[in-house]
Amino acid sequence: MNRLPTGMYLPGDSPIHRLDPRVKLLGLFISVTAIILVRPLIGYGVILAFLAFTVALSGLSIKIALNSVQRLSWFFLVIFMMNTFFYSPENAWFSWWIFTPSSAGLMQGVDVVLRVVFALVASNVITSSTAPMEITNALEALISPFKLVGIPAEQIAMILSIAIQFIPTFSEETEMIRKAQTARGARFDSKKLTEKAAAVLPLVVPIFLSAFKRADELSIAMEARGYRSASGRTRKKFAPLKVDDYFALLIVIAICILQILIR
Amino acid sequence: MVIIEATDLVHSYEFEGSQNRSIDGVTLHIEQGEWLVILGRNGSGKTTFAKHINALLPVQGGELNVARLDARDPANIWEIRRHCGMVFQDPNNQFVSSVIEEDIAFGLENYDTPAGEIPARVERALAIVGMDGFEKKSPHMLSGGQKQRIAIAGVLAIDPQIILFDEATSMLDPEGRQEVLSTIHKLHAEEGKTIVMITHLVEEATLADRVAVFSQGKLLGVSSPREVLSNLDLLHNAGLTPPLPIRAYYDLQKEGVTLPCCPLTHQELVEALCPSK
Repeated sequence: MNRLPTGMYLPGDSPIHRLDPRVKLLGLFISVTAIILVRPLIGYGVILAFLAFTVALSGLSIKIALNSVQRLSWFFLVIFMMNTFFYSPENAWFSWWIFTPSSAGLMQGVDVVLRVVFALVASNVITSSTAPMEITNALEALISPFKLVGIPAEQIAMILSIAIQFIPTFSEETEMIRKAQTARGARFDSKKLTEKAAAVLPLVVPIFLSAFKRADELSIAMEARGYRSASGRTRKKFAPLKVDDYFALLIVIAICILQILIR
Repeated sequence: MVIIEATDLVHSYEFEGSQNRSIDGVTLHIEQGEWLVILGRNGSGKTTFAKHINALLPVQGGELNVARLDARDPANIWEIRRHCGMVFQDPNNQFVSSVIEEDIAFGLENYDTPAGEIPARVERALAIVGMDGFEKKSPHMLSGGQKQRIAIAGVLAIDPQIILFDEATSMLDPEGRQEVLSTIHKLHAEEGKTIVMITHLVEEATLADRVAVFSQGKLLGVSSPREVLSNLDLLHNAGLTPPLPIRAYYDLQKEGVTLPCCPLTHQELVEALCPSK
């Protein structure tokens, strides 16, 4: 394995690791809401300070917190460029063909990229400090009220857990197929965007085929181990929330309210 | 005592408009605590037979009793699977969680095991396969042999009487294969489990109490490893090649050198060639 898979659980005993998984998941949801609501510069400062504090408290390295950000650098560049060149034709620096770069567009590009980076860091901290089955159980607990309107909470939680578990497998497999295609002349290192896109296509078909095969084998293996449906299985009983959990929840709610007030 | 009792078992599937038999009238009885190897080429019907034992496939014809439960009765399916665990070829496609202890607990949770019992049973299963201390790790960080041992622990946690291994060593390197074979040996010798091992590797058959040879859905023969593996006609009919020591025995015989007995393993061959040692 070349790189650490995105969002992989890293066991630890930090205050973030010890928080109740329901609080972590709810906290993530509220944090992302706060990130969406952020407006003035001071708002970004508050979110940045909060995330830096959370990463430090979790004992995770900056590299792990920024793991997926690095992988998505191309995506960020495209988003940034699109905003800069297409956002606003008014007060454009110049106008050429369909391009109208402007300061407003540049600021919008920075704004969008920063929000996505913040949201990714927040989710990385949660997935790296919470065991997948804990996330599954917490998600199930949080969405269980929706069972009343027919939403299959247990099944959704199980699907999520399996999806998380297969991330490293598919990442290794993609790397293997990429190497095999490189050996047959595919050019993934090309600087040309068209060549890059063309080279990605032959990766997609084998990865999809493999995904279907694996899904089939996994379903048989799950049945062999007695899986019938998500209901009727041993349920994890959560311990009551502790003072730390309430405190953590209060902090994220306060940050979210602050973002609303300073908008 | 017989724990698996297949009588005239039949399984057909439709292919290009015609019915093909992947299991064709198989009668085989497996004793409790026995280690049986089912040997055959790809497509010989050995995996289909194993899937019947685990109730993954319904009985279409004939009779099958597993742990005194009639596999024809759909009400027995889950109880049969509790008594009979199955380990598959690719360990990566058996994990449901990226944390080992959670994955091993999966089977226990499916059978609604009280939450308080689960950690101790997970710990015991890991200790049996020699992977204690790996509870919090991810299976993706392990070698092929270690992954397969975790998959075995996942099955073992449910405490089945029978464990089926469906080509469980075929994707492993020699070291990983040895690790898994040693674990299977331990499960048989120390835990008293009934082992049914599906393989196309004839060398693995030497470890068993009995060997059953499948070809084109039929059971060609079942006997001790020595009798089966030294029966060249039987192996030839099944499209299998005998292990190296047996090939060497017959090649030497052709050259006029007759060894005192047909050696089954490399060690036996050395002893037969150098009796003084």
